[in-house]
Amino acid sequence: MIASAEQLLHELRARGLAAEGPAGDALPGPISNRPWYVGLLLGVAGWIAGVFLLIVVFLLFKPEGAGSALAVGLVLLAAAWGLFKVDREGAFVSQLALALSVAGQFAVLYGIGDTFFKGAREIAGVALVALLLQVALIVAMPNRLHRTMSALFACMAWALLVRYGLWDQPEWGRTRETPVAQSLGLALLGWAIAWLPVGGVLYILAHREPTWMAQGRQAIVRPAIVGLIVGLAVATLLSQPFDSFRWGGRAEVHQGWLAVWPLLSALAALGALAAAFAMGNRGLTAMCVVAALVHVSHFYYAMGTTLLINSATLIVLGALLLGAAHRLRRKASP
Amino acid sequence: MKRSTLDQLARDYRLSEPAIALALDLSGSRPDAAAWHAFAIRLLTAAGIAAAGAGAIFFVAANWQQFGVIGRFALLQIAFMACVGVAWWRPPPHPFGPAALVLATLLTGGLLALFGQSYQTGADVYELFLAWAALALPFAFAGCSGAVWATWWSVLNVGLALYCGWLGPNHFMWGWLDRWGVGKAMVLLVPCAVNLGGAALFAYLGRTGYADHAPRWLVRMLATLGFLYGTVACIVAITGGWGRSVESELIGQNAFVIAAFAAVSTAIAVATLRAKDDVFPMALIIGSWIAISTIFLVATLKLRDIGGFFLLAMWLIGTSTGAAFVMMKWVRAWRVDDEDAEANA
Repeated sequence: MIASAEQLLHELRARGLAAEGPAGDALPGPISNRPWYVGLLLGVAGWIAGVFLLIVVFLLFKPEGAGSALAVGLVLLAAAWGLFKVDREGAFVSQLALALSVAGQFAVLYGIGDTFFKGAREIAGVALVALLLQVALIVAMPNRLHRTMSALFACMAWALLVRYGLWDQPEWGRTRETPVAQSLGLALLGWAIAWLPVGGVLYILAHREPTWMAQGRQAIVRPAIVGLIVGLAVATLLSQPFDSFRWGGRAEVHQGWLAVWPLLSALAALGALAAAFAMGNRGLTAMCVVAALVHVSHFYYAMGTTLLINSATLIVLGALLLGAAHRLRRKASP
Repeated sequence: MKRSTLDQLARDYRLSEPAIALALDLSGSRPDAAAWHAFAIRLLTAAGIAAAGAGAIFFVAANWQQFGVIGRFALLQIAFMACVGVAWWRPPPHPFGPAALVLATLLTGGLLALFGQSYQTGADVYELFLAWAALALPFAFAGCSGAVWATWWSVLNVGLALYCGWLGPNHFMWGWLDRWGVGKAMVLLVPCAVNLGGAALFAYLGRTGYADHAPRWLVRMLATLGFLYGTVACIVAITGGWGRSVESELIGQNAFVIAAFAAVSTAIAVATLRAKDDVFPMALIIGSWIAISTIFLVATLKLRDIGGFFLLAMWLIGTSTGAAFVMMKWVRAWRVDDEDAEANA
């Protein structure tokens, strides 16, 4: 295995696959990877600052109606884009840009939501706008952290769109006539529509890594992959029925299939783990393992079945997994 | 080889798709069929053991009411003895040893809880956790592993959090502390000191012959917990918190809490800047003080007008920008590579 860039270049040149010198202006020095904890600090601070900035903008300009809010949001997003553009290294003004962008996104969502999606299907409509906005921002905003956050929020918006578009209603919108129970088939279909595409996109991106690298799209795709992996590991909670979070043992919940959701989330976290492994990201691998364990512990409290059935399900699942591992091991041995 | 290095090579030399595919394979960055095979076996085995183990625990929990007191003790003690036996049979560094000791540590708590439930000892939950930590300490020493120590520290921290954070002002222990004039913020410094002391100890052990006990992630975990408690202590000191002592009596004490945490932060910063091998402690220090100063601003400004919100937004943006700038400067200057460092730890 080749460990250094020089050796690798030498090998590629020997096979006629790389030029003698860099094409165009090479970047000075190696790229320094931003450690995850610096990104986390910046993301949290930028997000909170964005909320404060949104309050400032609304207090300052007092936008009357959805149209004004939309206009203010678009101006903030444009300002954020401009700041990111002039500060490509992300050294000085990118935090201001991130905060402006967060404030702008909220304002745009409020503006469009209030204009087009008042009343019925309000959440699904706003989620659709959020999804489109986040996808556009992944491409448009020239900043790694912003792209990761946008990819994660796009995942969440997609899950909410499917959920509220297909089969659910907001808790606060329920009336006595509104049935609490949904059919298992529809709920499972919703889960599959929400999360199988995310897994599929991750598979395609990991499989076609050389293609998008050759097209020079690393700056867009790589941070987006991180956001998708985090989304698949954690944000599946957004697709779980509210009843599955009621850990207090409420007697009126009779749906046996509610217990399925934490297991599905754990499987999704294992899928995210495979994607993190494919991209060689150890930090994300550890995060996915923790997420899977948390989902399994949620299964302990899962409503709708007895603990005995949960126990039997896990033991059968464990036996199947161990059997599969044994088969693979036997296949590998000569 | 890191993906960022490959990204730069691909961009600088305009590598074609086949060249990049070859580069990914030659550098071992992309898992090949054998690596995927090994990964699948590891994943299936770990997930299978975890699922079967959790299923067994669920089964016992489901039938718990059916067992008598003797049956319950017998069940837990047999499991406990089995774990200790496995650790004896396959001691560390064999992977069975630490795994069995983690389970033995957890079962110690189960036995204590069962004892408290069966004989109504009247002990508080925090006492259970602190006793559990004391009884499980030999397993942590025997484990020679970060995972066993992390389990032990988690138990200890739950006990400390219950005692320092969750006990209400009317609890006997708080009455006793209040008599001495000790406020909530001051008490929160205790778990802060315990965790930071643990981090310092394990950071030292990591450079000695006991390095197996002290992987870098464990040091980071303890330092994070220490700074979390310290930050909460300072926030409680700023906002006043609660306590039965006269508030004016606590002013000097709260000032001491903030000064003490500032002194500890400064000492850690100086040590980190001298060692120049990890930026993580600086991120903790900076993050803590951004949070503390922001709460101070919120408490001072009362947020009644636009100016307050604007100042807060600008403060957060300015401090985090400055923080990112200096931290990335250190990352470059100290040639910190988190992925490589984690691999070597």
